[in-house]
Formats: sequence, structure tokens, C-alpha cells
Amino acid sequence: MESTILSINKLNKRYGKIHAVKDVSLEIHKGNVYGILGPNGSGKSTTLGIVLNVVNKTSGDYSWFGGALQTHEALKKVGAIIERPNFYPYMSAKENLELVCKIKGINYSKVDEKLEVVGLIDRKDSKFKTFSLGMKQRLAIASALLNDPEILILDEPTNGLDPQGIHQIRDIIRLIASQGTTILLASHLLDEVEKVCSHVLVLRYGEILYSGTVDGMVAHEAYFELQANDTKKLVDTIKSHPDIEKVSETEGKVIVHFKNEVDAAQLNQYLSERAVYLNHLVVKKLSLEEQFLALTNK
Amino acid sequence: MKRLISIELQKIWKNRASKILTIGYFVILSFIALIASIKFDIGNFKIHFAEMGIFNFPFIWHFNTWVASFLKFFLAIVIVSMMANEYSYGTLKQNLIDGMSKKEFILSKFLTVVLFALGSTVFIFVMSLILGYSFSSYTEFSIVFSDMEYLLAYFVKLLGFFSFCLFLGVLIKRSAFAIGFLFIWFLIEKISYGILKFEVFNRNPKVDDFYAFMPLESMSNLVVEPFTRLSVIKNIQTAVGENNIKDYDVHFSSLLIVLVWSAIFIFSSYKIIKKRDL
Repeated sequence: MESTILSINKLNKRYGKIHAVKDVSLEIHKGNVYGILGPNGSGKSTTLGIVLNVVNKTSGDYSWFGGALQTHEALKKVGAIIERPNFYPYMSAKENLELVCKIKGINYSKVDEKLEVVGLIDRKDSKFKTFSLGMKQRLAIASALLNDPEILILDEPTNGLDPQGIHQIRDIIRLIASQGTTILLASHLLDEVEKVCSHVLVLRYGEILYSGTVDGMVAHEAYFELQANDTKKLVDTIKSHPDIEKVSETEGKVIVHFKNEVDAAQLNQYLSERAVYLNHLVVKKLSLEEQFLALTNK
Repeated sequence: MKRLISIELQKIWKNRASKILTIGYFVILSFIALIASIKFDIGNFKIHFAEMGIFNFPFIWHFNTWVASFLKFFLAIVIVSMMANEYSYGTLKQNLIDGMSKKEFILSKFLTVVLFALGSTVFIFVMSLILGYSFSSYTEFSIVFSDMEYLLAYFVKLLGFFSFCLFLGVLIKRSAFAIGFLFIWFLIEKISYGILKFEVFNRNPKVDDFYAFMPLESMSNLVVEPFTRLSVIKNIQTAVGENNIKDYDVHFSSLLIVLVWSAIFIFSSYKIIKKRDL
């Protein structure tokens, strides 16, 4: 059994009237890459803020590493970057990382190595305030990696970056993921999550809409696109199928959703037995983006 | 504890403005020695401070700690900005995420405050010792090391004042506003005292007793002004017929009041950080 790194149980956060996080429960297991998806203001950052000890919860529980450690001790084994990179502008990259080492209680031996990983070794003596946003974000990643963390938490790591910057950050994330580090990635960028994550949590208005594997989310709602010479007969026949959920017509094609899993061959057989012959049959899976929009627009 | 101090000193020492202010503070402190060279020669009337006895043991402990406490505003700026910067850089949040507890965070700030107060006290101690041995008429061991409670009072005074500054930094989050508020608070204490004492209660001494509990007033009560204690001034006072018996001692009750204020400030800072969503 893989070990649990973080478990969140019925977490709630209210800011006055606004209920920012509603009954969020979640288990993070070692070795997986998790994505938290949600539009802006859906409670992603608040949830992360709570487990990272900067936002106070209203109710609920969370525990790191099975509850064996106090939160701030556990955070020494976690690497996290939130929203924007926060460092002392008047210190150099190296000095900033050394300060993080002091806080985490580790020695300075990893500083150069991690600056190398994010490609900032040449600028290690430059002051933080002279860095571009992309460099600041990479320094934040270096800082989060300093302790070789059990889990890396990234909140919108590519926000505000140019295409090169986004690409660099993604490469770094992929590299880290390939080394078996558990990652929790909050983002509203769907392709980012789809490309990197194995599990996904979808939030809207602080509520969980979906929690499970990315494949599960994408595969769950497969639908059929059908076409026959006699469209009316096709529609009438398919409506009598016992598992039918929804039938609609667009651009001469009939879109069919089933409640349960129906195999394409079974469907074809079912229709031909009732003398409906198809000239077009496609099984379509929703992309994560369509799936996400479908979920969040309900 | 060493870890927390080293974290905090790095934050202050790498900041150029804080570094210059801190160095400037100690340099200007040592300028107290220059008072020794002040000489006025107006015809027959001669004033030479060093020869007037201000550097005599044990009076020098009282004189130097009183003068030195004026310079505390230098370090007050450093302390307020070291706290306010943590908010504006977002590093308070980052420090917590990196694994510092909120308690450790406040503790590291408090230790810095203690270190500043202690550093100033030791500095004044050494400087007064040197000045005293150079100019004092009495250098017997028992006289040199009498009245040392002024150093303790000086230390507690700085501790209380810096804790107040730290608290304002935590509460207000912006250094300029925090220092502005400190000044306004000072005015509030002084003006309300004036109104109560001279207008409302008709010079009732109970007003003084009450104001001895106010934060800034209690700090300034720790070391009262030393000038009227000088024999020269005393002679003048007797000559003009004023016979004011003033109490120059350091009182245990004043020490206690300031220590209680320091504890309140530090504890409230912790409560604020704990309660706030950062």
C-alpha cells in the first residue's frame, strides 16, 4: 500500500459571508502527480494555504504524513510555491536559498545543485530584484527543491510567464515528476494538468466536483456520433435503447449519450437488428477541457 | 535559538538601509564621548562639561544611559521595517511555508529585539567605563560599580520600546504608518496627560500615578533626567530659592510595568500573526 502524504478531511473556510472552501476531502498518496483544477476563485489557493499553515481553517482537519508531525515540522519536508515568488529583493539568489536552508534546518550543500537544475547557476550572485519573472519563478522552484521534498506543491507555477518561461517550468516539473517525487499542481490551465497529472480534483465555488484519475474523468463520459440515411428512424430506434440517456442532433449527426458503458459493436448490432444501417459511427471521448467545462457549467 | 538569531541577522545585515542605520546608531552612541570636549569660555565664565562632574562615577551611569536612550529611534526604524518588510515582500508567508512556525517567527523577531537592547547596554557599559576612568575624580572599585541599576533600567527601557515598535510593525504592516502611529501615540499620551493633570484634575498627583502605567510614560520614567542632579545646577537652584527634592532612583515598580508591557506587546504580536490569514 502506498503511503499517505497528506489527508484532508471535510475542510471548510469562510471569509465572512463567502464560503471559500466547502467540505473538501482529499488524500494524497506517495508517487502520484495530482492536479487541482478550477476557475479563478474556486478555492484552490485557499485550500493549499490552509494545509501550508498560512490560512486558518474554519472547520475540518488535515494531517501531514499520517499526523506524525506538527504542521510546521512537516512543512520542512515539503516544497511549495504559491502564486508569486516571495524572496528578499536585496539578497542574491544564493543568499535567499541559504536563508531557506537555515529555516528548514539543512546545510548549504544543495544550494548550487538546485540552482543548476533550474538553470540559474550563472546568476547566483545577482540580487533577486534584478531577476525577470521567469527567473524568479525558477528560483522559487529551486527553493522548493532544496530539501529534496517528499511532495512538491505548485500553485499556478506558469502564471504570467511568457511561452519560453512556461516551457522551461514544464520541463522542470516533468523532470521532477519522472524522478518519482509526488506533485500537487494547482492550475486553471487544463492542458498543463492533462499532460503532467495522473489524478485530478475539480473545484468550483469551493466544492469538489470530481476527484479521481485523469483517465477516469476523460473515459467516463464517452459518447457516440452516428449518421444514417434515415435520420428520423435512427433517432426513434435509438430512443428505445434501454440504456439511453440523451439524444441530440447537430449538423446532420446524431449525438448519443448512454447511462452505462455501451460498446460500439454492441450498438451497431442493436441498430442493424432493427434495420437501421449506419454510415458513420464514432466513439468520442471528451477532452479534459470539454469535460471540465461540462462539470463547471452545470 | 542560534538558528533563529542567525536567520534574523541575515535578513537585517544583508539589507543596506538597516545595516547603515545600525552601524550609524553605534557610531553616534560613541559620540557621547565628544560631550567631554565641550568647552565654553565666555570671559570669566567657563563651562567645561568633563570637569563639571558629568563623567564622575557613579553619576556617569545615569547620565550616559539617559543621553543614549534618545538614539533608540535609529533602531526603532530598523525593527519596524524588518517586520513591515516581511509583509510587503510576502516573505512572512514564505517563511511559514518553508517550515517556520508562527511561534518561531515571532520568537526570532523578539530575540533580535533582545539582542539590540543587550548590544546597546553592553556598548554603553564599556564606553562609560572608559570615559569614567579617563575623567572621573573617583576610581575606587566600590564607587565605579555602584548605581549599576541604571544599566538595567536602560536595557529594560530599550526592550520595552523595541517590543512596542515590533508590535506596531506586526499590527500596521507598513513601516511609515507604524512609525507615524508611534509618534501619534506619544502625542496622545502627552496631550491627554496635560489636559487631565492641569485642566480636569487640578494638579492632582493621582494623575501621575495613573500615567506611570502608560507604555511610553512608564519607559521614560525608568531613567529620569540627570541634569538637575549635578551639583553645579543644584547650587544654582538653591541660590534662586527653589528646593525641589526629586527622586532619581530606578524603581522596581517601573521596571515591572515596562516588562509587563513588553510581554503584552510580544504576546499580542503572536496572537495577531496566528489569527490573520496571510
